[in-house]
Amino acid sequence: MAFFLTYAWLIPALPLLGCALITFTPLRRSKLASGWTAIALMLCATVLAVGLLAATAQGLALRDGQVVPLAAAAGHGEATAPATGEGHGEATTPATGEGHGEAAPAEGHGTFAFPEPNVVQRFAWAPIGESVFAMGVYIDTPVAAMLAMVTITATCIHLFSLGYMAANPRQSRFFSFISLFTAAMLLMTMADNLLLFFMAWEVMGLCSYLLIGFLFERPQAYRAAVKAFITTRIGDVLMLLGLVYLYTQAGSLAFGTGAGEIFNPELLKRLGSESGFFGVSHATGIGLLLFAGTVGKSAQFPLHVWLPDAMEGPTPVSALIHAATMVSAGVFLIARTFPILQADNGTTLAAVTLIGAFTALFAATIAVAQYDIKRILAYSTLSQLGFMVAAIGLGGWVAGMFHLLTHAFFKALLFLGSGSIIHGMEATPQMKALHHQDEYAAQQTAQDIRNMGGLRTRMPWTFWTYTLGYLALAGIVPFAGFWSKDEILAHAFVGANWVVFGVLTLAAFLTAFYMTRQWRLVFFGEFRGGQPVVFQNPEPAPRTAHHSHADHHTHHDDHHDTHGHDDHHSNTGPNWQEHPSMIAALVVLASFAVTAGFFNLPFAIPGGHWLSSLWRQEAAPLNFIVAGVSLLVALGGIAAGWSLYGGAFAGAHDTDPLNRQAPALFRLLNEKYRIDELYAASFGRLTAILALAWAWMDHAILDGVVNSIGRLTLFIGQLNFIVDDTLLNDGPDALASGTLATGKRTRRLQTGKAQDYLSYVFGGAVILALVYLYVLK
Amino acid sequence: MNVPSYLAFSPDGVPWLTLLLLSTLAGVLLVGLAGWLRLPDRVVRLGVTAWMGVPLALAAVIWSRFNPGATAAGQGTVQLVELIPWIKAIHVDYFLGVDGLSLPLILLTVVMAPVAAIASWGVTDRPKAHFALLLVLEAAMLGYFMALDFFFFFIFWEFSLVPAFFLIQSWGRKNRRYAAFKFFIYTMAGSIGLLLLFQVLYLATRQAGLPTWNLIDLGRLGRSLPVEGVTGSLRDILFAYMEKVGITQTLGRFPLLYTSIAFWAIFVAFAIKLAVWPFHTWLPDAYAEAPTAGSILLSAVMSKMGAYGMLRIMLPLVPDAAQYFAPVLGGLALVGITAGAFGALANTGGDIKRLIGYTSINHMGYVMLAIAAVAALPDGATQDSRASALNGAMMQMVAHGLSTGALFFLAGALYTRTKSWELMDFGGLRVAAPTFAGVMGAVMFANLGLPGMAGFVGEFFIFRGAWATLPLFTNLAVIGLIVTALALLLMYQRIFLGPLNEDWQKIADLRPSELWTIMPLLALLLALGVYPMPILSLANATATQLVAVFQHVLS
Amino acid sequence: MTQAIPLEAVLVLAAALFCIGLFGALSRRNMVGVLMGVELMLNAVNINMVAIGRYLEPYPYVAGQTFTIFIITVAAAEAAVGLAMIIAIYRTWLTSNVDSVDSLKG
Repeated sequence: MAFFLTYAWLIPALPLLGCALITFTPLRRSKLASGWTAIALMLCATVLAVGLLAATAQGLALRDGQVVPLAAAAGHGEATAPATGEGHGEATTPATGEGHGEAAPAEGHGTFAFPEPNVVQRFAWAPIGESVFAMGVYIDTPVAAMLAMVTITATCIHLFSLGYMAANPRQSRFFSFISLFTAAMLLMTMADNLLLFFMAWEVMGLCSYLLIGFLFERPQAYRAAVKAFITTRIGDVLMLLGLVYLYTQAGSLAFGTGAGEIFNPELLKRLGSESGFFGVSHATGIGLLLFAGTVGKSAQFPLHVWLPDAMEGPTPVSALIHAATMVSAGVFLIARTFPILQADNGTTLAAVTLIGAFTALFAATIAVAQYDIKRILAYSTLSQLGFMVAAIGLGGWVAGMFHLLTHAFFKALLFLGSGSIIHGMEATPQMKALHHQDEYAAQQTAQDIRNMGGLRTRMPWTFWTYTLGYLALAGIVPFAGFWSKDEILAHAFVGANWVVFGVLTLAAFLTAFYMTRQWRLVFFGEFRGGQPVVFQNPEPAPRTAHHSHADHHTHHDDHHDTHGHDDHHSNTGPNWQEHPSMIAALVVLASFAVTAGFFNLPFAIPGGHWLSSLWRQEAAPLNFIVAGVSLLVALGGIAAGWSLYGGAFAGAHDTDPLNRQAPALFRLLNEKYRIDELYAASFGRLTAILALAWAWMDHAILDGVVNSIGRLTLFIGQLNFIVDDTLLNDGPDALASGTLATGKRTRRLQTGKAQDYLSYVFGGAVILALVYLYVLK
Repeated sequence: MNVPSYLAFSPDGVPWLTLLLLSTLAGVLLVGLAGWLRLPDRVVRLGVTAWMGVPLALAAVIWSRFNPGATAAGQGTVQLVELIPWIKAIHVDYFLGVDGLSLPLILLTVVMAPVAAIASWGVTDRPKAHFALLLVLEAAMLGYFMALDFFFFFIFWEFSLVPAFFLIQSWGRKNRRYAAFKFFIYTMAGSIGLLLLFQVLYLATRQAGLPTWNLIDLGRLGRSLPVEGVTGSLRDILFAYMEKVGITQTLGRFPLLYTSIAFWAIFVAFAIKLAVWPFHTWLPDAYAEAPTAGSILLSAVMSKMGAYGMLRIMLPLVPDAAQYFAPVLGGLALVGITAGAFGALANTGGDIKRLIGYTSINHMGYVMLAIAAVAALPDGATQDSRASALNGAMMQMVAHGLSTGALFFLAGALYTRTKSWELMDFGGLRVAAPTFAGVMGAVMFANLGLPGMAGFVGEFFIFRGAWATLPLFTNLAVIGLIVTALALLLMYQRIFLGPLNEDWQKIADLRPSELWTIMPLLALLLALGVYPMPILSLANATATQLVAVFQHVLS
Repeated sequence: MTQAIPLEAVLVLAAALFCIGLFGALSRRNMVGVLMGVELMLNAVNINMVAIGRYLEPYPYVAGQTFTIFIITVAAAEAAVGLAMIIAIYRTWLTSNVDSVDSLKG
């Protein structure tokens, strides 16, 4: 156990080593070797992380290199937890309706505290004046749980990628990137201060950029990559300001409650009471700036626009980065800095709740009207992240973190399932024929749920695992999502936040509805891919060398086109393969989708409230009303979806039943409330105009000034020259130049011809004679 | 000679700084010898590149002899000092020395010079002259960073323009004459005030009993630190002289007025070099029109000369005026940051070198912001926060030098392959040249301040320091972070992403020589980003002492 | 000696001869022609010398005739030198055209 605690830093170091090995050694030349290197190192990291979780669960801690039990601190969380009265009393400060009630959850404001850290290892990183900035790792039980979750999902996704990316020529690069990403995510999780947290956070952003743009020949892909990077960077720079603000106020960014650390109670009290800019307290300012980082990274409204576009990346990337880990890092951030967020008696948390609850509902409504299987999942991710953010905002720290963990498993599962489906769809002759013409359109067409149907029998492994993930997401007892979502709803309910409760319940209903719609259309009915709705690519890419290679490969399949769309039985053979490594990953994740909810069962049984007690927080008991409502809502959503889409889509070109009933609304939802267009027309254009304006100012005004000063100088010079020239230089100059000119003129007489000279002599004689005769006479 | 405690001579008695300076000049002589012997150009270019290892090694020795933590009498100890009377009549000394402000920049110079030399390997037109000029430029820049007597300081300052001018003028691009003249005249014109000011200061100190050009002593006087042989602060000395001359009768008896005039004379001279808005318009022209080696040295080292001058002269000599005008400096820095960022964005459809030039304006804006933050009024700022801003500025300079130099190097390498500077001519090169794309991507992310790379460390500490004194400007300055990132990403996208442009099907990937030129720079950027201690510990002690004066209200 | 031929007539003859010689010297492009023109002008001078000596000089009228003898001698020498130069020029430039020989041009 001491090993796991002492060498916890190996957990991010191993995937980093994987990245370095794949990038810098000849390993990169072999797809398989690079893939297995990454997977093997991830497995080692997983073992270490699980071991670390076990060690911390036993209450072991590392103090001065010695392993000691953390028993002394065990009572800490519980002792401080039930302080409801205080939280209530102080929550009378402004805040909106939702904000007010956050105080209600039993934990109470101002008293929340992380469990004592199990491992803190720091080293001097940078000297700043008289003080020194230290960096290192800080591991407590929530971190250990996160590490375990991240390593497990990441390993599964690495494994899945081995099959999914098998056909891609740049597979090594892919593994290098996702290894780097995983390393950054793990490092961020165990960072001991917000600066290191932020650094790893940004490296994840980089990997996200690289992986969204992995298929960089496609304009859609690299545009989405830039969009993701810039949109999240807007949140990130605000978060950076939050860091700087906090650093200035606290003189440190280190986690911990000791003196000079950022969760120090006295510091928090001061931050909450002193007011900074615009009359808001320091804590509010810092909290909102930090939360801006969450809004960017977890794609909350209004910075949510990048996440759906990020689906341009390969599907394992969507699963790893844009569902399980990176996007939930935003939630982890507000969970991590929770003491600061709540130091101002509710204002910040009210904003957090507002944004979270709004996003949960907002994204769920959009998901209802999408056709792209990955985009539905992307909007679902937005919505679920909204749940988590709202949970944290409500003070439901455990509920939010719990949902983060369970969601990571089942959403990764769903994405990988969708990847498996797309992989199968792309192998159908119709898609191959389309691929022959336009790679991008083929992929988009393959992702369209209208073109699927009846995949239940064709991809049984995918179907069953996907179903488990679907039930978990929809919130059906006893799957993982039910327990964690129920805890969030219970927080809103117990705290009497009726608006939030209503919004989240509605979002839960819609979640069940759109997932049923998707599940029904994908797996049931007849296969509609024979006559697909073909994606119209607005900018078909010119063909590349890589592309023509694929063409060659698919030529012999073309004749399948002539078969009718009903001959799926003959197609079940080679076209619907499920790669073993993909199945393995799906099964592992599915098992977690089923069981992850049991980590924090809301019953007072052995093993119940396990996460709560692990994290030394107060356990929330099951609220039967909420559980009932939530189950009913989920079942209602499923029933509505099932009945509405039961007979719909006999063929791919049919109209969506919702579209038939409310075309205008459906169109609005399908176009995502046209927010992208709004941003493009406002911020996009503003940026372009500003760029032009600055360029013009440089060019026309400043350069104009510089050049005219130059010209003025030149003019003065010329003026001076004229004066000098006429007064001082002209006399001698004219003499010299006159002589010269005369010489020049007279030299023309010197023709070199004897006869000319003779004529001069004669002419001269004549003139002399004339003068003598007539003038001198 | 009675040596004050804040000067430390070379512990082993070897004049390392002079050797460093002479080693580059010896290189020039060797090039001349090669020309006399009519050695082939290939030998010259390899020889010069190899010879640049000598200053590099000497600088490493200097680094090893340098004690970063040493402070004495209220300032970082100036070390490896060489102090020889030079012109007795006007009290000019040959005075070299390094402290925490100059050593990082000396190291930057000796690292970037070989990169510039390697970037010039493709020069076929009068290569010997080209390489000789590179060595001369290196010598001038090193001399500038080491000289502590204004006489030599100014000589090196002006002299560095000459090789730069000829590099731009003779090997530059189409519009080079305009750019070279603009660059030369702009900088020259800006430093007139500086020259006049120091003559006044000399007369003033002579009246006070210690005629001197010694920048260390003047800086100490400016900060009211004791200097042997004279009493009172520089402000009083200057004012007394003004009174004696009789100027106070015309302009009034306000001591701050005279330090303010001095401040602006100094500021304009260095602001032009640092390309602070609105004195920045020479920069895109000069960077864009210079040959690759010129762009590398101009952007990596020469622009730092401006910031170094501010730290060496402006802040210590006239701290009261600096404090008074700090908000103005902050405002200019902010406008520069935005102007650079949006200027870069406006060039994403145009010239790659102009784009990089504009990002440099943006990055130097952060340095300016840090200097403003160091000087600003003590509004809740601690000495640590000021030291943080100054450390951040040093880090930012080093990081920007490395990353922008590398970017220009790669842009030059791209040009030798494609004969084009226009971003719109490229597209999809990542397919044909994956290593090139990877390396350029890494350099670009280093340049836009990705955490884990050195640039981020600089920006973070600048922001951390600036927040304490200039929160409003700091808040607005982050726009630059976003827009520069957008501009650089678009640049990268235009070159490398998308479908491969048919014209470049057979473009060559990065050659090993090019790769191994960039790799050390990337490794340095990464190493300093992960562990910035080596640079920050060099600068920290000096920076902490320097900023102490601003903890009080000075006027 | 009769006064049949007045001095004026002889002078006019000499002037005509001189003009012919001048014309030849100026207009001929052949160097030999030029030389011949020069000889004509010299002879016109000789006629003048003899005529003026005879009509205006007091007895024994020898000064004009003596000068004439001198001039004839010098003219012979001059013709010899001139022809030698022409031959030398012809050898060098393969021409006897005066216009082609202008190496003294300023």
